[in-house]
Amino acid sequence: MRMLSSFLCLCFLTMSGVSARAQDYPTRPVKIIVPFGAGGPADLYARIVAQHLSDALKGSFVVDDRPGAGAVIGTSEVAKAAPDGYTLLMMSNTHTVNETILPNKPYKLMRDLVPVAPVNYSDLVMVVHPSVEAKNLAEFTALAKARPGGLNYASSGTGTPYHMAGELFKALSGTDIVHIPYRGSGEARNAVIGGHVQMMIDAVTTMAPNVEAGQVRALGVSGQSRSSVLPNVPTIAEAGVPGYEATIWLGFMAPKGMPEAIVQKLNAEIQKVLKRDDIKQDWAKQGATPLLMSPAEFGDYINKDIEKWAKLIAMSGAKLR
Amino acid sequence: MFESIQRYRDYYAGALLILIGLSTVYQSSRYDVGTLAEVGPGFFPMVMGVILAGCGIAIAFNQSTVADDEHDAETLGRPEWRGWFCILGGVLAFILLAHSGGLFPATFACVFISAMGDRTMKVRNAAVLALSISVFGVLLFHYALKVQLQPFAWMAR
Amino acid sequence: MTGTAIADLIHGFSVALQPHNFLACLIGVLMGNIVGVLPGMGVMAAISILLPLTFAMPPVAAILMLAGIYYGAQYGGAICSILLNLPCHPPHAVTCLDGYPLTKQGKGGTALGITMLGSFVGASFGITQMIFFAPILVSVALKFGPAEVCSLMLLGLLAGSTLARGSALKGIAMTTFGLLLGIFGTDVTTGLERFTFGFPELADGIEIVGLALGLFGIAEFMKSVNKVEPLKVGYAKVRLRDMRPSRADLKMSAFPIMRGTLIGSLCSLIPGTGPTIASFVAYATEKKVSKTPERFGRGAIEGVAAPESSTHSSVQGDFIPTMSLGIPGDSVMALLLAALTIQGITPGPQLISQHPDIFWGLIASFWVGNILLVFLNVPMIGLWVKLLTIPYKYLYPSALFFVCIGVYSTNNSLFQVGETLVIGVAGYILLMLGFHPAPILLGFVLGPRFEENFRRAMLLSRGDLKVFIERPISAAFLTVCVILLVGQLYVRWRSKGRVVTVDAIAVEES
Repeated sequence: MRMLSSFLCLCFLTMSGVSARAQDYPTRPVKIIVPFGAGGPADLYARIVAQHLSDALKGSFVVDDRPGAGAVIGTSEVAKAAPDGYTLLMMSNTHTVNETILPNKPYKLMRDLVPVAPVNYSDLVMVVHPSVEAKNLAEFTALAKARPGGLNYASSGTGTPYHMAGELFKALSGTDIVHIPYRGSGEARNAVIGGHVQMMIDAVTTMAPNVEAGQVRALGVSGQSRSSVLPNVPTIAEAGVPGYEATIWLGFMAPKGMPEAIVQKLNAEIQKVLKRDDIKQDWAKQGATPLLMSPAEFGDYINKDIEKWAKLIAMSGAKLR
Repeated sequence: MFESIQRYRDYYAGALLILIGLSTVYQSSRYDVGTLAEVGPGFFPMVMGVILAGCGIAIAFNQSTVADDEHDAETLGRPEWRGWFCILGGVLAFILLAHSGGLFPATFACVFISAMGDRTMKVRNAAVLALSISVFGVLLFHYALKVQLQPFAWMAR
Repeated sequence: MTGTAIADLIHGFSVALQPHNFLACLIGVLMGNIVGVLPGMGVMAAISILLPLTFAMPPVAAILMLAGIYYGAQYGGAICSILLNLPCHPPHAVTCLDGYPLTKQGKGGTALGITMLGSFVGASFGITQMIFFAPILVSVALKFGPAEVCSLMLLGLLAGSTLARGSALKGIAMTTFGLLLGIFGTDVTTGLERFTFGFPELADGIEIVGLALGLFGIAEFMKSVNKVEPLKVGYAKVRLRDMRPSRADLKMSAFPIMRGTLIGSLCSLIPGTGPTIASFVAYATEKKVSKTPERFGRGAIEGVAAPESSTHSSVQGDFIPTMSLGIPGDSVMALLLAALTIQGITPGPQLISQHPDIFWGLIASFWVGNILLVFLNVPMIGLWVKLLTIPYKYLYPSALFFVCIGVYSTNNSLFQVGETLVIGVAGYILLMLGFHPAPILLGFVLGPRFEENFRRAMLLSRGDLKVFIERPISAAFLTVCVILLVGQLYVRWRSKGRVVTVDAIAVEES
């Protein structure tokens, strides 16, 4: 009995020692590496969260953009960094897709990094050019089935979430639509508005003004529930392709070996930021919904996502090296 | 050495182009050339390689390329090994020191080493130049423009 | 439309001239100007630095400031190109070709003066275009599918391969080499990495800033070290009056400025073409339409006026697709769009009607900003020109440092500084062998777009080559290509004939 209580005391003391360290965190600037270009959604949301974290933890959270090789360059830097809590990674479902399409990269997501907290997810919307004779998703699917290989869809690049969303649609609806990759979403949008391709799946916020102006027709949004930005548009799942879900989501990860206490602390603080009213309102206008999960739940979420895209890519044979 | 370059310059130029062209053709054959409906990634580089090699042959054998005396006078002359090594060394120093040493040492090394490439440069003047540019550089780039490089690497620890 | 446009514009001025908006614009153009003067310093980097500040600002002020950085940077870029033969940013590479020879002739200040004028005219035209013709231009631009862009790129490649002085054959070789360098990286259409030799840093290709600064910077330093004397000619005592362009200069520059401006506007509308392409095309056009093309590369003022005007008009025109369609023409515009989105404003077709303050305030601020820039830069010409009296041995190490930090700041990548180094060495070797580097940059920029759009056109037509002739705009460009080619060959054939005749006469006379 005495041994048990002294053992418990010892445990308690050690734990409080650990959490004392976590309590001081951060004692110097924390670098958040964003492996995407400046101005993109990952960069912007990272900066917003970083600002709030800096205020809340009285520390300095700095964003460092390190784009390149489809997020591989920035991510490998974090994977190699010291797991002391002062280097974090802003990642997205680009990373989960990369696990399958880029097998030769210098890191493995769940092996070399640990999940900290998700941030948000944004819906995508499927739009068609007005010249396409389909007023809703059901008609479009029928049209595509009647003309296999006859329709085209644009994306912002091979292997991007938009490309994957398109391939998922093709797999679940049983259609064959030719993928036309463009260099960046700007050019892809130009193509669909100009009528050079028939269909495109793009972020809801960016496409909404064009939908409202009648330059393109929205057939469905890609989330589990309708988007706050285009509430009159059904989800693709309810409009005829059950089980369809493809969003763009963002989250924080850190190098493997980061102390559990710091992971928990960051997660708690980030969740506090995400629960703020002003964040919820602003982000709703931009079509982004905060995601609240514990690190373990986030880890599950990531693994499920990796599996989902792995299955899709194996099935559709998306050609990539 | 430079005189021989001048005389046989077009042969060297042609040879270089042929070399680049042929290695390009080789490398692009390892990518899928594809069909017209789905032009593969290897098609264009291969065409480029062929054009380059073709230009190389044409240049080597067509010695009546336009003589550009002004350009020649500027480019050729004494080989400036000291100057070249110092310029390249300066850039190399910047690359090696930027992360491990910081912006200040990297700038100092870069400017100092490359300045020494000039034959008439005194060590003291080079040092002063390097020092002033380093200070100015750190103030402008790190503090004003917030470039992601610490002035001294130990400041990040 | 015109009537309301003027009224809206006046409203826009009232917005832009409000104290805090004016201040935001001023800070933006000032920062942009500084960034523009520093070689390689990314406009993107500068904008992303100021971006967090804009979260706290009202949207109008925010967008005025960020936009100011973008077009302000263009004003600074010409300075180093003309005076030091070092392009600060890729669009100004072409300005070096005739700008630096002018400096050597003692006319550097004049060249800068003409540049300022051309820049202002170009920008003004771009702004006017945005006001009155935006809808028409946008609908034309949307008609440009892959086939059209491909034919246009081909035209640009053909026209520009004989850009620099010297042998046409070597020019073609360099353009092709540039095309090849442009292919390095991930293939857009298949996702395959080409010519990356195992370096993930090359997966996005060679950085254009590194290419420009390596070829025009490091290679030039290597060429000039221990050889160049400070240009005391004409600069020992400089007065503002001396730098005013003469009437002859103005007359010679008038049409080039107009042509350059037009080309810049056209380029800004076509997706994927930017100021760099605009400046190259403008230069090539001037050389082609000139009655004395041999003067180019030796100090022809048209070779400075046209590219600079086209760069500025293209930069202002870049805002059109962004503001009216919500489609960013390049990554800088994407950043601006993101800044607006954070503020809760989504640019798109509704922007003009839903947020007239922003749209018209922005346009008015372009003029305010450009005028501010002219006032900032013109008096500084004297100062810049004084730089030339500093001995080269102090200039080039400093410039070398600016090149290193500039390239680094573009993507926070030391690997790319290394790329610049390697390119510099390669560039010098090419210089020694009698090649000129300018067409490399042209091929590098136009080539990948040509390939990408050719393959895309083939994908869309399922392998049918006729699509290039069937679509009218594409057919038009191809026709011009053919005319150009035929014209070139004809001129060559004629000049060979003339030489024979002259010799024959000489023989007869003797």
